[in-house]
Amino acid sequence: MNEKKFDKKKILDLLLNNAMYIIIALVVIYVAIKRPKFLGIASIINILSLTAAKLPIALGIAGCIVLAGTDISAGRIVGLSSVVTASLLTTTSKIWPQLTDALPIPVVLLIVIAIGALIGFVNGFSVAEFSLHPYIVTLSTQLITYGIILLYMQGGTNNGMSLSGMIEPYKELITGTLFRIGTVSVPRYVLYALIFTVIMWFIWNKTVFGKNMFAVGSNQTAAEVSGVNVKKTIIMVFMMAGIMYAITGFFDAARIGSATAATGQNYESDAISACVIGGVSFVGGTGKISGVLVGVLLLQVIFTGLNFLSVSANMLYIIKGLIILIACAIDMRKYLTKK
Amino acid sequence: MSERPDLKDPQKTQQTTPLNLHNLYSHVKISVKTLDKIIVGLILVLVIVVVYAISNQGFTVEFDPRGGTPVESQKHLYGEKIDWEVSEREGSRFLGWAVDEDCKVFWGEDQEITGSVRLYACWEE
Amino acid sequence: MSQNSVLLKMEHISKSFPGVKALDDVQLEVKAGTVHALMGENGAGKSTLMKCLFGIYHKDEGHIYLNGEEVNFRDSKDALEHGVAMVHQELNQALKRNVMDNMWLGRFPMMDKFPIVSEKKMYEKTMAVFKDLGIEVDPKTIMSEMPVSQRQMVEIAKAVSYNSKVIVFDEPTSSLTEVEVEHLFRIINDLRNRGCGIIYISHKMDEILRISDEVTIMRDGKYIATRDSKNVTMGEIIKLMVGRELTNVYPPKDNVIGDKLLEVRGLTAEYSKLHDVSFDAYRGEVLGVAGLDGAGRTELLENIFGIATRRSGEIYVNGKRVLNRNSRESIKNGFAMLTEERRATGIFGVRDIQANSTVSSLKKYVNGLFLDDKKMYDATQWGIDTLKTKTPSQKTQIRSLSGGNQQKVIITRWLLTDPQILLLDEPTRGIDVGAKYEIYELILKLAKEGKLVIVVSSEMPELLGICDRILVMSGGRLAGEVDARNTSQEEIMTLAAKYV
Repeated sequence: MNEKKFDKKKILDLLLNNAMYIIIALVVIYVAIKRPKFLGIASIINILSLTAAKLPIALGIAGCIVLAGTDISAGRIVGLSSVVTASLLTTTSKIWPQLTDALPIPVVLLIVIAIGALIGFVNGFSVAEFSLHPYIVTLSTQLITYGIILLYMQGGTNNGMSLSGMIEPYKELITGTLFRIGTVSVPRYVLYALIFTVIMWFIWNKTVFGKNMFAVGSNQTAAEVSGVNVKKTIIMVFMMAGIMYAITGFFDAARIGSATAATGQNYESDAISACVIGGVSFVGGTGKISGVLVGVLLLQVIFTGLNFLSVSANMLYIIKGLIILIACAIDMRKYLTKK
Repeated sequence: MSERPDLKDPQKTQQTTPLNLHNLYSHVKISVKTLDKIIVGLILVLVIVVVYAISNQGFTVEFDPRGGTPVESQKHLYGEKIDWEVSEREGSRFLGWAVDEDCKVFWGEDQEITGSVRLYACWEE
Repeated sequence: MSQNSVLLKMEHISKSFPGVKALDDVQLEVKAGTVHALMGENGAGKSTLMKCLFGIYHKDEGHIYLNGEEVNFRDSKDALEHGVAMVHQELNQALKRNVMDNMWLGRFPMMDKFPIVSEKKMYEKTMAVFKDLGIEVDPKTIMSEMPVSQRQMVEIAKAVSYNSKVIVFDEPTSSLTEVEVEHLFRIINDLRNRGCGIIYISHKMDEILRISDEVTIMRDGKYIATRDSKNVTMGEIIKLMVGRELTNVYPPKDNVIGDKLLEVRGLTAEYSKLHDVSFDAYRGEVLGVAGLDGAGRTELLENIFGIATRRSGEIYVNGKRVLNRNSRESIKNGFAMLTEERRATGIFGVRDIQANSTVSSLKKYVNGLFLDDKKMYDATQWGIDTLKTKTPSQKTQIRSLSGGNQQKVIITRWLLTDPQILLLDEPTRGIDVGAKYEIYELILKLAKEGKLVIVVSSEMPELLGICDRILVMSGGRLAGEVDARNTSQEEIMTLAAKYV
């Protein structure tokens, strides 16, 4: 009798703790029945490519969440990086009319990385040094960055027009074919995203910095007492995140084929949702790279699926919000049952 | 001197340091049972919303004639094509519909719809 | 006073925590119109008893009667509504709000016609209570802008506004000046004359003898005696408080004291009471630090370790000056510090045993670019084996371990940094008897290896049992130094009260 009850409880635990995955599995099955094309090669590769495009930003933001913080400036940093990339890697730059030829690709990459790292430093420094809440700090840098993007788009003779016409070698480098499955080509940036994921895995799990990041996230005072350089760790986490956003922006200019002031808008909301679904808890000090990967992938699957069902964008926002709420409730449940 | 972190600094102990949220759920006074009910409730809401969303499926295609004769917006499912219509404007030639205002990316007549979209008329004077 | 009726009666109260019996058949009887002092060493069970009264802890056994009727309060709000109030040691107030908001929080007076809080009524009612008690405070002042003494007055006024019959004062004078103390005593006397029963918890003997009518003494979670304050002496109270026999629960001491290792000169803190502390300590020594709560023991360790801001003072290790400006420098200089609040400043709750053990010594495990898993595993396993830590695996979250095992993991963390000087703040707090013994053994073993161990503890027998010398702190200053072999608890107690 008692044993039976125990079993029932176990099953309930299993069902509720994995509710998110079950929902997503059900959606996938439903969509696959309704629209068999959803599970076709083209669609799967589309999902994978979009996942790869959104991975770096999620990996960056995940670090901030491990610190029990957040970063809402992410999307705008992606945007800034994207427009800078687009304006420098073209032969007909309206923002820099004096620039007759595109700059070398590595130089541009370094420039955008420097920009991302700088904004990340401002975020991290304000959080670490003045004990400001990450939300308010990144809100201010988000606004400032957006202002800079708008000003930049007005630069030269551009007058706020969207930027396109990037040089071919750059487009080839990012969106060129990695390999083909049938007639569908897998773009190169999928490989790059994978490489970044591996690098981040090593940073998180195999370096002093990574271990310190988790320590600060799980108990800042204890970390301070234990000899962890808390301020340096916080600053470095935000800088690392900034670099990841910059790289996302660098990819996006080529992936989308153009860059506008709106590029990157709201990216952080998807990235944060992915982290929460992937078990990077806002409690701080917990989370895995594999979780981030799974989170981004699942979110992409569910939205591509809903898109196949012709669900309008308006409804998607509501669904997104509900998914985040459920993910939070499940996260809390996991924490409470272990207490 | 004051730059150093000080656990005993009265000013710092009074304000909660932002990153010290590590005990986020430790003050949550909610039983797992209630939480279970909340989770199930939220899932139900999600299911209802998804069902509603699917039953009201369809992407809207809006047309901005930009000075030409107006074209009514259309509703389509995923993978369908738009019902091709043409706008007219005095003294201008209609080039086609574009996704962006700068007429850089045109919408092909056989292009499949994958989401709601707003199309802009492109004109040659 | 004997004709006064019994207002509050607590009898046969017992309360156990895992491995510790915090209260064992304790009784307390407070008569109307009297001040009843509750005394005992740190950890004697005074605050646990009060927490049982206010429903913060659920008592395992026993009954509480208020005016002859049995009561079991759910929480302090419930108690307050029944006329039992507490003026806390650490004031629990909304500091950013003004006085009257704090007074009427949770029961704001409403306007007659609208369900809107009436500021005017609130002001008038507050003024009425203040006038009654002779408190001169503007009800519109923001709490954080007032000195502690006035904030305490507000707390008392709040208790009175609930028509409280029983009011508990927990160390009320610890941060008051003499004039403020006089004012407080006037109010307490006034309350007594109105027929309130006051429970007064304090370490300060002279205050107790002056203000109280009766004294109940507790020791080790047990009720010892109740005396009439008029016919009792300070000496008698101290004897009753420390009258515990030293039982043989300490490992044999066979450490050898060597050369001078640590020299502290004129240590004064920026943000705490710690003032001009100087002492020497030697290799292989176990040095105790005794004192009452708030005497500056923890602050002393924090200042040496560099996690609290120093105003002045110098520290020498082996005759060489060290700065210890932050924990990293201190670790490099061979210091290690076990903090008092294990949960708040010790453990990384959601992290596993390995992460908790290696966090302070991570640089040791770096192999090229990355950390070496094998080295970290070995180091952690060494800690688990040497300290006999009971854990399912290295991957277990530390918060699921018992207090004693958590403590062992944190000690492992520090041993892995190869320290010369260990600063242990309440190393055996909240852990069971068996684990305590193991920690004592470990402390002596470390001393035998030639390290210096400085132990802060509120349990005097513990200090007498394992230390060579004991520094006694009082009011942030060093009140004296005693040889642990030929001193008594009475001597330490007297020193501890020196600058109070």
